[in-house]
Amino acid sequence: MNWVTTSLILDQLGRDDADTWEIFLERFRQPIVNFALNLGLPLEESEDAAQETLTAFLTAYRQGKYDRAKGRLGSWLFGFAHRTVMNRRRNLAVTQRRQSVGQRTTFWDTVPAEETVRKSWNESWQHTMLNLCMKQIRIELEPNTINAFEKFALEGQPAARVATELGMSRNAVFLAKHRVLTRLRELQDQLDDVQ
Amino acid sequence: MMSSELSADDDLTNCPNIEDIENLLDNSLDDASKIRLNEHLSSCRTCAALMEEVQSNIQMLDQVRATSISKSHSDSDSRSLFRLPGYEILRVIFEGGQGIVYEARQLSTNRNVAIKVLLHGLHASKKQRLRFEREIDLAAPLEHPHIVPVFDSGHTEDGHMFLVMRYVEGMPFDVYLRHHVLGIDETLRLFVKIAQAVNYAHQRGVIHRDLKPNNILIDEQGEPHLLDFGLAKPLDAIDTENKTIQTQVGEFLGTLAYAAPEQVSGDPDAVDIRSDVYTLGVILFGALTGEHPYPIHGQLVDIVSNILDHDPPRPSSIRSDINDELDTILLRILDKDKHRRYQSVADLIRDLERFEQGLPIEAKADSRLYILNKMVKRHRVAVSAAIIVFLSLSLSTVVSVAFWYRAVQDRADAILAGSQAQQAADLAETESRKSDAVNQFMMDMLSSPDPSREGREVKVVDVLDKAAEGIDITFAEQPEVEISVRDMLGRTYHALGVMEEAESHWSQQYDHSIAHFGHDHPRTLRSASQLALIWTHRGQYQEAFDLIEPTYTLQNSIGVSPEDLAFSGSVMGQTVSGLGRYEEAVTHYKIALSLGREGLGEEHRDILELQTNLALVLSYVGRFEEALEIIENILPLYAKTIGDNNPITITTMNHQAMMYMNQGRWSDAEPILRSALTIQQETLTIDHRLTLPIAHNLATVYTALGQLEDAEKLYREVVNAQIETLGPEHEDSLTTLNSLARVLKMRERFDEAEATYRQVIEAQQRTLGEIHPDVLITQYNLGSLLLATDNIIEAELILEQVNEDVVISYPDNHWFPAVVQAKFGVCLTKLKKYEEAEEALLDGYHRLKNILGPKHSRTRNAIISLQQLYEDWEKPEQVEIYRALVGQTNDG
Repeated sequence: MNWVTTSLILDQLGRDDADTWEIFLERFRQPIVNFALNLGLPLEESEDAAQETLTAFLTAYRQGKYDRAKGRLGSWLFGFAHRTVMNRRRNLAVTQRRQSVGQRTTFWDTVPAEETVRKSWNESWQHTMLNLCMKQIRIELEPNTINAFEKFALEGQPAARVATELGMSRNAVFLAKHRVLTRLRELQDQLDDVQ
Repeated sequence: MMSSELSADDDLTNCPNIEDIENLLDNSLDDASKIRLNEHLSSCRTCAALMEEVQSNIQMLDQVRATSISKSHSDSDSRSLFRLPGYEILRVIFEGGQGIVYEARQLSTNRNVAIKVLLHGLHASKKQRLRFEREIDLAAPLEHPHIVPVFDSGHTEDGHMFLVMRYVEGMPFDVYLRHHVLGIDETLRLFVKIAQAVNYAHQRGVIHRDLKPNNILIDEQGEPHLLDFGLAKPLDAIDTENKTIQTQVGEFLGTLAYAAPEQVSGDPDAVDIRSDVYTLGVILFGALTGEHPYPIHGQLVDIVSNILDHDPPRPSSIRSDINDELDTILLRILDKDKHRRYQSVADLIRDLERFEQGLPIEAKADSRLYILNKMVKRHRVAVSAAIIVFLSLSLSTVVSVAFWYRAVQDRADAILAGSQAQQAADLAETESRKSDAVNQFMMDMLSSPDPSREGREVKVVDVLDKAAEGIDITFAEQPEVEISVRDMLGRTYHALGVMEEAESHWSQQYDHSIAHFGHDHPRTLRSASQLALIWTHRGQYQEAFDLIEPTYTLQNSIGVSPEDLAFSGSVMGQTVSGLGRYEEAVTHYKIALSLGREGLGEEHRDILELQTNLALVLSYVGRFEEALEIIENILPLYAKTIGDNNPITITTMNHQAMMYMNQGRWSDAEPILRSALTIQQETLTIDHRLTLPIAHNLATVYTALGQLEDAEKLYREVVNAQIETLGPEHEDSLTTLNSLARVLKMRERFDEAEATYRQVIEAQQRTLGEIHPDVLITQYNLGSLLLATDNIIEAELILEQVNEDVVISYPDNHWFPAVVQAKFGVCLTKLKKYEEAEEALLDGYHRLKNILGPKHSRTRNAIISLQQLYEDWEKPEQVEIYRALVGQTNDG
């Protein structure tokens, strides 16, 4: 997969590029689906909510409404996703009530606290974005560098042991960790920041 | 934490390495090194920048760890782990302590399969291999639609034992329930299929012993598939494996939450098919209540103790719509003593099916009162279930539902046919005698007024009142005649709009019918529908619903005449409409119409009335075109069958005008209403229930056309009459007060308007609840008024709340939520929250344009609000765009 920054994607979408829409969907659909599922929407509704959210987002973007001062893409997308998912929950609540005469209180009446909703979104968003970045890093960097990072930084193995195991210097292990994390930040910025 | 020194080869004239910087940030350098490094950093920009980078990287690492991005097997990794000739390994589905499950493609059939492989190959323990072999032996012969079939099994060349099964794309049962909203009936139907699979295994001598939601996959069609017989045992086996369960917690822990008391009691010989019954109970309890029947967190010893001793709560204490019978079934399944449980899964299934069919359940077999009650309710429950199902169907299925109803009726007719034939002669004679008596009563009634004493202008009501005196005594020996007379009197009072008297006669008719015919006689049921209708007219919707719902259900069950069914369907529709459940009302009306037309014909008055009601409720949900088409079709039929000047024809004209009003065609509506009111008032006074809506609507048209003085005058006449006849808290009285307040606002008598709105809201919230559509309308009006009088803070609070609630109470395609959204945008404009205002106004405008059209007055108002926003926001280009749009709406 060629790495494309979100700015470039949005730029091309502004020109009605259909292929780019596919990339856009592929990249940002999943965190919204997860978010909707976490808030209790059924799977199909969650898929629809993701589509609706991204369409609304794109419309607003094309109208030049994206204001960097408002924060990163993830926060901005959250606003759209939140409204869409909550509207669908309410609609489901209406359907539920109509279908369950006499059942006055349902799960759908309980609106989760803002904090919970925000947390759910952040988790879903970060997880997807980091996964995308890690996937790209595995393509870009040497397997040994990745291995050193995983063993040292993620698994917590001592630097000396990792160095011996992978046949590299202790400093190279620290450097591997540094390179992966630095690249991870760069990629994350490219995903979450719109110029 | 141990302190580190800087690396030996470091020279502070040179830059430190990353490890040093990390140690500095981690505060794990000794003081001397720390000072030296800090000194270097203060003079070396490159290293200072590097330190910032490292610091950011540390934060990044925290994020990575928190989001559990860890080393994962790539596709090629999982393929490299296992090879099996004839199969292409696609991915790892599950990796557990005992084995791995892969998704693979079977090359010969090109179908996807799941392959379970025992870990460690030849190095697997003897017990592991025996258990795997037993799983193959027990699962392979099972052929059931809800058990995952085994296709193949064996050993690979390198000694791995494997089992090839059907690959099921689906979700575990508990996950499925979280993602799909199932009612009790649907959950039970799904559960019964699972239980049937377990029962099938039992019949073939296999106890599963590891039933849990994870081992039940629900596919895309909603069908369950039972899998993983890894812990299963034959019914007749002596179990040595679990003799020491307490010491084998590691193996057992995963299913402990679903284990039966006898499974954790240390006596594996006690485990039999009743253990699976218990486990199914835990699963069903969770599926229905979302909770476990006992706490399953904490120390192992506590969990085991809970399984052995903790009595589950009544499920209805967690979920209120679970009834007493289902409570009883669940508690019986979960009995700690296996002898008191259902003795087999088959018994459990049988009782669940009896429950679903409304038959007495075995679990309550010892209660005589229970059985008696059940017999009485039997018809009702059976059809209730059907009604719940059909209400969830789309309208396109209405016709097939109607056929179903017809079939029910036909069956009932067929059963009744024999006895009816035999009784026909007796019945004819009885009817004849009754008819004579009623006729005589009518003659007496009409000849009773004495012109010499009461003058020539004797009112119908007076005649009725006089006739009604003493009929209970007159017909004391002829109950059926009294019932018919009261029916006739009730109808007449009803037609005259004298609801109190109509209610009195229909109420007594109902009581006498119960006493004479019994609760479930068609005649009694009809009188119940009439009484519910009166209650609906008097705004007592919940009481009306509580009466009409079981009545309608029973009528459908026993098979009554099309007239009665159509009438009750209409009452049902009116009642749920009064409760704000408009889409449900549409369904009731359409079903009643499809049934009624067949028996009564297109021109029958009840059919015409049903269509009127349908049109009205369609207009409530914004389907104006459909509504107008219906009204325009039935208006000539009314004129033809009952005459141009009949009050009902006039009322239908009123409805036609309302459809125009809904589309903003005020000038089209006015002449129709004027004409209707003139004709109506020739025969009826302003306080007649048929006159009031016309007068109200004309006042509304006056308001829209700016004739405010006329509007106020007419509204006051109407509301006074409504308070007099219907009471001050009747929905109609409050609606008119609402409209009056609006006119007062337009006449800039703001204080009077505000007080009126607040009075209406208070009464509506008391009688209709917090989020009834009508309450939201009044709150919206109050919010708008406060906005107009610059009480913006309270206006924002109210409009924001309405904006949230309106989504719940109105359907998607209704114009009102869009109007509220736009008004909220106006409020935000005044608060100078321009961006939010723009979002709200644009959304409101586009929805209004789609629902009502670009030239409707409400759409136009939204455009004007947008223009105002951009003026305040100083965006001249946008102002011009919306100014031009306003101009275009003027063209229409």
